[in-house]
Amino acid sequence: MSALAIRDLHLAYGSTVVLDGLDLTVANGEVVSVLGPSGCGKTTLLRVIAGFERPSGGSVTIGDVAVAGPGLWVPPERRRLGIVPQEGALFPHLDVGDNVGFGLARRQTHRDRDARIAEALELVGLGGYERRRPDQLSGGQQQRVALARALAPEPSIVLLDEPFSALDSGLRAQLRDEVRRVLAIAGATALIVTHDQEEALSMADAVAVLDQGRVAQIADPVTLYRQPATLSVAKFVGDAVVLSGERHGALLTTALGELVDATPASDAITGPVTVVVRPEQIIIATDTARAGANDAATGVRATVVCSTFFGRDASVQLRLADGTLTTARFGGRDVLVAGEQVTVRVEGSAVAFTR
Amino acid sequence: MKRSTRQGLRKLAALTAACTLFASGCSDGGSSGGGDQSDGDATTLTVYSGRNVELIEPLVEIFEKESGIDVELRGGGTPELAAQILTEGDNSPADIFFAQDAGALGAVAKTGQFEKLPADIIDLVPDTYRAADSTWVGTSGRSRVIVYNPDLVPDPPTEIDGLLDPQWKGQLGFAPTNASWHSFVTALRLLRGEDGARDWLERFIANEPQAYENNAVVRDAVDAGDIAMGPINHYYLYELIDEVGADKVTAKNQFLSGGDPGGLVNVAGVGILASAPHRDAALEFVRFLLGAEAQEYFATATFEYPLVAGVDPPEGVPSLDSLEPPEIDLADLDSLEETLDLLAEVGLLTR
Amino acid sequence: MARLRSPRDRAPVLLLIPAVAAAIVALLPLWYLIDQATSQGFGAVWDEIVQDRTLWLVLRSLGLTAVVTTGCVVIGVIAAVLVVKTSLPGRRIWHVALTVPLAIPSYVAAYTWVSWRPEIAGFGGAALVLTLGSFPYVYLPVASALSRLDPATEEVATSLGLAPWRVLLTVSVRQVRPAIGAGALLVALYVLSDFGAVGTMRYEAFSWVIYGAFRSGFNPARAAILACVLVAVAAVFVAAESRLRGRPSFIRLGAGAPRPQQAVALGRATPVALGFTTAVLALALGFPVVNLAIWFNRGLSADFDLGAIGSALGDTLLLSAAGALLTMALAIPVGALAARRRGPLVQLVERATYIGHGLPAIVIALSMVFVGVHLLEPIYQRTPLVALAYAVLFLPLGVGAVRGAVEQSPVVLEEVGRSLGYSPMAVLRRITLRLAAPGVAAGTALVMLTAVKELPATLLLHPTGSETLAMGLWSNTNIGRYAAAAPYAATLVLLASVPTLVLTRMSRTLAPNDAGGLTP
Repeated sequence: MSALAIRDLHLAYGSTVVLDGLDLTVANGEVVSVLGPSGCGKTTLLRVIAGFERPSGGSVTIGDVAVAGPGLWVPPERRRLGIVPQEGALFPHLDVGDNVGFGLARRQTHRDRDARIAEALELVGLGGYERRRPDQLSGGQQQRVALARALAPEPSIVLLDEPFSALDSGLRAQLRDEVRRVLAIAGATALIVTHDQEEALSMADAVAVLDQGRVAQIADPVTLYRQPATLSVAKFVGDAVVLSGERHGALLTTALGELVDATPASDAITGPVTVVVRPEQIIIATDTARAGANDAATGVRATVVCSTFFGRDASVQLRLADGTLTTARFGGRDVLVAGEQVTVRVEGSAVAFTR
Repeated sequence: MKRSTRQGLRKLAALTAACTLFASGCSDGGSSGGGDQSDGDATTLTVYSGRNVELIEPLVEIFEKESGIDVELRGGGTPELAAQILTEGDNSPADIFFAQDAGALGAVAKTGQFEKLPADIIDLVPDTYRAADSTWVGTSGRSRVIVYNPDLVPDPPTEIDGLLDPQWKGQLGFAPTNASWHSFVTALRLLRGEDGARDWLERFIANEPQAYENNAVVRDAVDAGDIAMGPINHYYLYELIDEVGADKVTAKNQFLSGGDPGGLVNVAGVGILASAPHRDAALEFVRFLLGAEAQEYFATATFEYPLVAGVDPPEGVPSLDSLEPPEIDLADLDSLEETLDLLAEVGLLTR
Repeated sequence: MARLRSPRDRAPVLLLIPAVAAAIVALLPLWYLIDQATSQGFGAVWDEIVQDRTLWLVLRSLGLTAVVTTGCVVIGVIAAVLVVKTSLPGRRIWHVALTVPLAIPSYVAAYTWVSWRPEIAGFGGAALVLTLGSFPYVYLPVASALSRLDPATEEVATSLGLAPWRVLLTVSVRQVRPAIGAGALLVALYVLSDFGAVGTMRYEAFSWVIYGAFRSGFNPARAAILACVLVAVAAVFVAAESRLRGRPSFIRLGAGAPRPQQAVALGRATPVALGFTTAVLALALGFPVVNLAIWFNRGLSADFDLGAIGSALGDTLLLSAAGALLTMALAIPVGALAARRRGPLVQLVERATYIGHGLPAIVIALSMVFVGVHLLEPIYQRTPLVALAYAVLFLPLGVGAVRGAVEQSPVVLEEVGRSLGYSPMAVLRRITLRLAAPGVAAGTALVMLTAVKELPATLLLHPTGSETLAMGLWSNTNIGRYAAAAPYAATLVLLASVPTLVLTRMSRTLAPNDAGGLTP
């Protein structure tokens, strides 16, 4: 029995189709991130699961309870889910303790409730903050309280809606790790909606990429990154260098040379394909480096167009022999200048999509 | 404060509010306004009074002491109260309608909501001042007059057409929204027909009369010499004299006789509702109003004409018999709507 | 990120039923009016409506409405901008003072003006009195909205080189257009319905004629027909305001937090600004109050009964409190629904509640007499029916305040509440209304202060034996006993000032760290 099972979900606003036959399964204790560009329907998906929107078709099952389906719709208050909205959304008229305890059953004794509240706050690293007021907290602290509030009633699933987008980037990374830790300790099943690839890949056990109202691919982060199922997934889940090429058996002929097919199919058709390579796979060797290393020349020649320094590395735009422009990352100590001639080669396999 | 205490207090407040509303709905309503608390007698008379409550309250208190009947006065404008009675129909809680003018009484009588008064009451009052079918009776009278400033008007007019004389251009005043002015115009229509009334009004406008908000202000303006004359009711002058002393008042009243429309005598009066819950008490009250004590009160406190024989009129006021009011049925003064239309037509409704 | 609202999100039944009940209450006068209007057949209705005079009257009322509404918008917006967005000295005091004119009944103010200079009577006088008495209806919501503006847009505009004044006019004021519209609607409906000022100033407006028609000829049919025309005009206003705004917001009188605003330095313009506010208040507040004091000294018929005034105070409190409570009880479901949903039923319910506000009180009063004797006999001329009449009269004030306050409360909080296991009604109670409480309190205060001043309905419906301050004031002025009337007037204005002060406090227009000078 999975924690969440969605089958063939449809939702349209007037003539705009938002969810178009979406399927998704989340196992117990799994953290899944839902990734997609703005407008792809990921927030709508979350709202349907939570019960704030009614689908026009399909079914949603939480645990072994069907909550949405033909002729069936369970209101949000009966679905036992936790929500962490984008902006935290703490109740301003309650203190932190009352916020966290808001979802705890009132039948419980005060002592039980207070104990559970304290436990939840400890979990997010805000032990002792019960009597503080929301407006006294920083953005990050507010998000953590929101998480504690969602977790306190021990929901079957926690839904997080772009939980870090309102925070600045340094804080974001730190909070990401914290939340991952908290979810792991709590053993919670979670669905994180985000448009940030880094976030999606680093936080989840599996990533579902949404494209035009359907799940284009769901896989663990590594597989998703290295073996994207479609071109648009490839382009979305990271920077992509897109080349045109020819497939000959297990090899792909491109302007960057002969590349190995990452997923060779036994009945692979020879023919034109679109090839995707990640920028960090493109290794640049300057002439001086090669000269010093006494390497035999492997790779193709390219001209540096421009180089943008990022701190730990640089993003380099290159023009290949046939005029194609590609982007690569260069971590070497040398600074590349425009017009410089370099040798580039691809490390690892590439992904090909039949055109 | 603990949250639970706060919540408890809020609930308590809400409960108190609800109880207050409920209790006030059940109780008889507020503190006494129109009279003392009943001294054991169960009868409470409800009077819809278009006459000003402040003015008649002392009289009502005398009645309450003498009769032991509690009287509740509901004050309001006479026309509004008439409208209310008409809307209430047979379900009206009112026993008596005490109106400021006969037109309102006539209107209510027309719908059959008044009951006929017994002969002994009716006969107390001359038949000009009561309903022909005995459904209402006048309690006091007021005469239309022309108040004038003798310094400006050495020779006051003896008929209402005198106001139309061009020599008074710009020196006349009147109160266009006043009910007795409307009654006068109605009388004009009844006596001279629509065209005759229109003609008079148009010539009146040609004299550029000044508009004031009520009769008292007209009187004051005449007294001060701002204007020369104005048509009002007789008692305003005597009120002023009573307040500041005769030596301080310049203005004088000119009574118009010979059946002139300007000499209209209108009455305040009462009718008993057919649906009255306390008929006997109501009759007692009406008898009281037509008794010597009340009639003298009207003469001395409000300077109106007592209608019952044997009671002296206010000092300095010509007697009722000496007046020669125009011959109309006062009940016909209820054709107020047409009067207002006429006034609107000629443009005298507000100016 | 814009949240799309699913069309199948249904309104909770527990809210819908009381909201529809509120709409029915608000429409009760229509029962009476239609019954009366058609009592002489539909032909009579048509004849009455197509008369030249009817059209002429409508135009006169519309003319007055246009002038007064424009005047109120100008004064209200300028005053709000000065108090909230500039360095005007003593802003906190000005804020309170600019609300107090609401406490003065229009008939009192009109009387003081017309007895000073009778020539004022007519259009000019009516426009003057109504503008001076109604501009707070625009001032309050605009000031409240301005104080909640995000300074970001203004800062951007300034950085783009716009002078501070231009920023104020083109950016800040633009953003509060919905608040201006809401206030203007209230003013327009009030002018349509007002009789006190119009009657004293003897301006032949529609309301006055309806009043006269009910009083005269004792022909309720004619009057009812005219009143129906007025209802139609009021309905047009309401629809127009709704169309102009598009989405949300009636009065925002609380809830949400005011932010410290960029104060424009007035510099040399300070005396001009001060002159403006002083002039407005001198005319709207100073003049009537001074005249009341003079009445005290007329000394002629001066012997007032402290006991009578005290008991009138008590009666006034009881009736107005009962009215305010009932009105808000009905307004809360309507406002809460209207703030969140735009379905046709909710829109209809909300618009219905505005209709009564456009009718002269005498019409409402007679309707309630009619309803009282035919349907609600046990409470006829008892406090509950008075409360009901007040509800019909003042529902829009309450609905607007509740709606504005609930709109300020973010929807996401309600969703979180639902996810934590609370039903829609529980969410409303424990979250939404808690957050909207200051705005609801402001609405209650507004209704209460308006009820304190009410006269025509109270006269016909008050419990026998009770007397309100307004009634005592009226019966004394009727016979020229000004000195005896003055204590009633004074007590009335003082009493109405209390909810007025509550109102200003609850609108929380000035941010907490706004010390009354330039924000650092």
